[in-house]
Amino acid sequence: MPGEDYRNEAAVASDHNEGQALSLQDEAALVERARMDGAAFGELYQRYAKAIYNYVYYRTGNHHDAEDLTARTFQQALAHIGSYQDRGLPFSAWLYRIAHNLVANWHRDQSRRAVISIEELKASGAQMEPLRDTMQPLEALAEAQEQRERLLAAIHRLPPERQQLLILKFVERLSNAEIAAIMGRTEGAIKSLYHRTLLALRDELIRYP
Amino acid sequence: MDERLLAEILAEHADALSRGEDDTEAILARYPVEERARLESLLRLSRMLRASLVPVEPSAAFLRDLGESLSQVALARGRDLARRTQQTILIAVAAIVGSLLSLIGLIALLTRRRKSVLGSH
Repeated sequence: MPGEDYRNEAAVASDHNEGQALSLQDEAALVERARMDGAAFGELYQRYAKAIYNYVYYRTGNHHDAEDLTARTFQQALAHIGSYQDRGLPFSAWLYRIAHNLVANWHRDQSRRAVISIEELKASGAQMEPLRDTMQPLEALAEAQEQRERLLAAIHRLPPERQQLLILKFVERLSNAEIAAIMGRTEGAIKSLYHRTLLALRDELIRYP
Repeated sequence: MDERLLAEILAEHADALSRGEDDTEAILARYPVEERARLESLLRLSRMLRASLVPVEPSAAFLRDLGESLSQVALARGRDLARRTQQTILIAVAAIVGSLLSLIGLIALLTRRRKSVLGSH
């Protein structure tokens, strides 16, 4: 077992989607190596750490739990990679499944519907894309921030699979084909799910103005 | 406008937003007023989603520390696997050597008996 570690590689990574795109075949070969080779698992970690972190962050609403659940996702993946079965899907689909289940357990343990940490929302307001018109008055900026908080709270009230769809679509910027592969559905089903998700979200925003 | 067409329009619009292109007004302009109302709220909601759901950066220290701990676990697993493999090989070799010695002993015994029988005749 090689002694290489990948902690420094993870720290250096700066792009959201790390590394060059791998074909399914190349990724399958990497996963096969990762069963026995820690450095190969490290490559998978570097490739997907931020994506999983973002998924968990938007499902839990705070960085503390996002770190905890992201760590547990990869610890479980490493512990069980020997039994991972290649079904022709991206490796990320398995990681998202692990993360999804951990988040579901987290929600159950919290004994409540997911509530966004308002402190986190306010702190992350700076990460919102800059408004086109940087001369907007402060009132407009405050209103925009409040609108964002309402929207994120409404997203958190949606069923888990709809939240996952929105995160994969807008945070990860995946295509419908990629989302379909991860969620185990057809592209048509994903488009239909997106439509229904928008309708549900619109209703949530009307119900909770 | 049927539901399937609407789903297609919304999906393409969302894909365009993901690529950084906003063709909301162009899409709305394509449809008559009575259909625009139905589309508009959903297209604008997609825009809000695009603006609100932005990637967040995990802390570099967190990524580094998690990478390190996973590396150590993988290393420990590797050492454990190497040790078990070595043990398996040793046991197999011992079994083969033991079998060979048993076989040699059996052949020696049979040869001795045969000589003894021939010698008595």
